[in-house]
Amino acid sequence: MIERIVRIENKLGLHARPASLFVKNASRFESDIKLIKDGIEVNGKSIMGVMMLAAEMGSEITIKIDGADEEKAMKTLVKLVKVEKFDEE
Amino acid sequence: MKNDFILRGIAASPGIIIGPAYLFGEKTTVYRESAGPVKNTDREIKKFKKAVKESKKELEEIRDGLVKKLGFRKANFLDVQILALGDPWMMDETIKKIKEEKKEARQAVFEIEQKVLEKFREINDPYLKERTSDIKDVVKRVIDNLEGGKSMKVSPGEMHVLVADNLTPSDTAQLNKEEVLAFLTNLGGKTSHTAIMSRALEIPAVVGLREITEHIYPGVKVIIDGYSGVVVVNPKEKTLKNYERKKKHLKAIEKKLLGLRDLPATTIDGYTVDLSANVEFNKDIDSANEYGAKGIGLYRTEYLYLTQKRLPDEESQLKIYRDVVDRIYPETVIFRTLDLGGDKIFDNSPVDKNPFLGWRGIRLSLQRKDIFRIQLRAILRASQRKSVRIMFPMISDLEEVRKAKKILEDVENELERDGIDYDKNLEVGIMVEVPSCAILANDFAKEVDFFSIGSNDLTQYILAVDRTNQLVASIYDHLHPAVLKAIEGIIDAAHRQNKWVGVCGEIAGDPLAIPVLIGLQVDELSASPIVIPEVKKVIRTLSLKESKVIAKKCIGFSTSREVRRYLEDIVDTKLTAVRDLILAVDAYVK
Repeated sequence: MIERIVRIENKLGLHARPASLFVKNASRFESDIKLIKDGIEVNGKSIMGVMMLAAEMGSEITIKIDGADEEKAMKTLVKLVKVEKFDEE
Repeated sequence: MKNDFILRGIAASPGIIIGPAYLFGEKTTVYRESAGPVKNTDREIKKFKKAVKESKKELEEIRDGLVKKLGFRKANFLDVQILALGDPWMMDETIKKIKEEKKEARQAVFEIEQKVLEKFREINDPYLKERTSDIKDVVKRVIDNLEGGKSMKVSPGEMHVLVADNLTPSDTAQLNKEEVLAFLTNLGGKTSHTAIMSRALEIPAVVGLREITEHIYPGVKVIIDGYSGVVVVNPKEKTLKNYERKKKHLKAIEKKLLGLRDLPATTIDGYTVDLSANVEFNKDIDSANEYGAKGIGLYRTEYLYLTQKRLPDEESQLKIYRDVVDRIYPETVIFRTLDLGGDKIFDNSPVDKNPFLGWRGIRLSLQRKDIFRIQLRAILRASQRKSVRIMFPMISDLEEVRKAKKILEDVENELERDGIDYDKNLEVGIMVEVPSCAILANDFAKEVDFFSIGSNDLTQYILAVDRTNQLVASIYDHLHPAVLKAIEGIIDAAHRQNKWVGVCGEIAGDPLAIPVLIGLQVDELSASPIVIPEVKKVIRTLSLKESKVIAKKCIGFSTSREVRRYLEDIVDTKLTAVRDLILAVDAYVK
């Protein structure tokens, strides 16, 4: 199991479209993917869960991945959040 | 689903109703409360999965079509819905509900939807909050597929409370009115189509609830208090009992008060006001007579213009006005000329962004003289029995009064020429509801025969509150000392010119406000027929002397809270005879 803390840097935070992108990407992997913010843990493959986190710009979320393809999954998701910034800018 | 969820809107039509809700215009059927536990849960789960699959397919087809039309980026707003259908959390929870709680698939879906919506309501981000519409949309699709994709009929086939975002005349045309217990809408004010129609049908209604459709699922029990505008969704047993009690209580009071029918609205020291009725439809006149109203203090003419596609011609108006006059004679009736926004009448008129500051009332009439003249002609022709008065709404400048009176004079001359009889001494008044008119009341009083204070709009304009906006509605209070002070000034100005003053807003039917209005020596009060006995009873226990002291005290306060506290105290200690009547009304939701 691996964990990483990332800061949400896109302007609107994890609103509907970024959340959709996140869930779509997360769903491609076999591993169990969880997101944690302010002590609330949700399923990273659940659009409702991710949206309900209401992670605004500047907030920090923990990505927790457990499974066979955890390394690859983490790389993809962190890239989406930090480097691609959900393709927003 | 949360118990006792309370929403406050605008009380549009009185009465208390408890019944199952039904969302109008949505293709869902009624939730059956006790369908009993499901035996074959596997079958329900299979049904559910199939419905989800079908819904997903439909949505993907729609999205693919949109991608072709709009391009990929713009079409991906449907992604949330598509992803929701594959959402592991929602799927698991729903299946768990079916399996463990033995619920029907449809009901499990409803309950999960409620759970999700409730969580979303806690989110502060307005953008994410809006996604509830996606959730509702997608759930609706699943339910439809669960029902075999068939289109459900408009009416649920049993007595129900009709809940809608808004009701248009064409919507109401297809309603089965026999089955409607009450109306609840997100939009609308006192003169919205729903409000007007519900009063005409004598069906309780609350409008302007902003978000009632968000909190309702088909079949959920709701309490509607059409007196106070309170709606309780999914009430607790205790709340239900309280309302049953209130219902009984009001019935008992009503019965007792009807004994006052033929007595005047006179204080114990001999000060009499004319207690008359606000009327919208001719059939309200029966209620006005039944409840002992002295004439009609406000006849709203808007309905004539809203119900038909064409503008009403002179003859059809005359027929209705004459009927009013005949039914209330020898008492008088005050016809208020058209008080509507232009966007409500003309299809091609741009929607008023700020309707209460917009093109409405006398402003419209003075620009559309053709419409105005027809109405004035009809009213004048109905005045032969000399029991008709006329008043203009939304006056903000003396020029408007002069222009309106000039047009009235023209129409009179025209009738004269045509040899048609009318009342040559007909009294002409204005609604005082705009602050400019209240401030300059002295000048206006010189040029009209009477004032009628429209307290609802006056309060709204003085306090700058849109009371259909839940976020600010609590600031709205017609007992605010600023409003009372304005009313005092208006009455004094009129009396100095020997003109009489009526009050026709909701304040005239608010028992707590009656001592103040009497103390300010108002000459006439006009309220909904149904509250007239109550108001009369209060007046008959007051003395003018005492009321003057009360009014003076209230105007000396600086917040409405102080006014209310003081008045409640007075009622509690001095007006013990009507204490229950006045204070009973809002103590039921606790």
